[in-house]
Amino acid sequence: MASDGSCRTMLSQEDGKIRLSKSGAHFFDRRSGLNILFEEAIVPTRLCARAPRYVSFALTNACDLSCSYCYAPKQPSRLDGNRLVQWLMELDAEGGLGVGFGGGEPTLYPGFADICRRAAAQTRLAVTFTTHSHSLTKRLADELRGCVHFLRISVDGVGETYERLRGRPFGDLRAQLNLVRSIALFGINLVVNAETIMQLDAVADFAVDQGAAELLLLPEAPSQGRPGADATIKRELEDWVAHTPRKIRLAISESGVTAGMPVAHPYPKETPLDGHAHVDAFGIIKPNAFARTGVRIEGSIMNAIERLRAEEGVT
Amino acid sequence: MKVWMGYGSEHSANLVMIGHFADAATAKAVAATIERIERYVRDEINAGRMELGREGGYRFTDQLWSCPDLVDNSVKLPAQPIG
Repeated sequence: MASDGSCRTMLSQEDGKIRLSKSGAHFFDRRSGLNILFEEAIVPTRLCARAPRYVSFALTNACDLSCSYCYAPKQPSRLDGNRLVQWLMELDAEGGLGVGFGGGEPTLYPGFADICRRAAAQTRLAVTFTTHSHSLTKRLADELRGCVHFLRISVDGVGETYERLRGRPFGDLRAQLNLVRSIALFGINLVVNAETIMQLDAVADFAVDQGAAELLLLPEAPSQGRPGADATIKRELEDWVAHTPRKIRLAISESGVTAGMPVAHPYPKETPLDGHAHVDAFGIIKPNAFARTGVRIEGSIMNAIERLRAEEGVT
Repeated sequence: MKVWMGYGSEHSANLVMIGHFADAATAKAVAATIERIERYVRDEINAGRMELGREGGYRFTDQLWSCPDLVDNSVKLPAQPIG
């Protein structure tokens, strides 16, 4: 950040990409995360990108933590690396802007750094991943540097709350964040539920203290027999968002937005599968990670997306 | 035109930004910057150097990169989200 309080963002032609869609002409720089949407541009349908802006991939269902609110399937499965890279190249060619790796725990995926390296080198997609960070080593961090544009660290609480929910010493997380900072910009994820709602201030302060670029609020979605964040939790979250002085950039899952939140919807003309799709570790593409059904990707991921659009009734 | 920082919907679901300008002066300064960039883009289109959807036209033109707000291949933005 510059001394005048602004971010001075270096742009490069190599890392910039323009996506044409019903929302307009969207310039995105994967190195800085800068978005410029020229929504005044009326894009003919034939020129609109066919790929979703972002696709998240559960590389593996494996994880060495057992958080009670985790939505990920627990049956062992992982994606094939070569097929995955082919899918990423397709998405890149069809106007996608980014890919997010998750799981399970993506850093437990064999050859994870190689997948990130190939994704960054063979596409112009932004490469991001969500991790608990405890499996990062200096060697892995060295391999990931330059191949990853943004990391999301699952925190969900500080001190004793973190240790109760995640079963790992909070001090270990602090140490791991030194490695995270050496890789790329990062954000902190907070699943908001009855166990974490009182941690909002503490996690925001922790995120600022650790140099995070963003705090992502994820009101717990109903999954695995859990009811998710109820109306009271959502009301408390809305109140916190409205009345707490802003110390850090905030984002929230679209499904968790309530009527009173001051949110910015950059793409009001987007249909759901224009913005995002999720591929689980079984190779099934869905509208999001919580969807129960989807379409198995047999060869081309773009063909599977078109089939999913047809099944979901979106054009 | 909208400008913001972020990596979009790469988590398990679509994401949206939360926020607003800190004050009216900041909002006006950003709006003025955006309008200048827009003028450069319109000039490029009118001059025939940019064409929406043109094959191979998915890069900024050299003239656009000389826009004062993109000078030295950089752009100045508020640190807080714009919503």
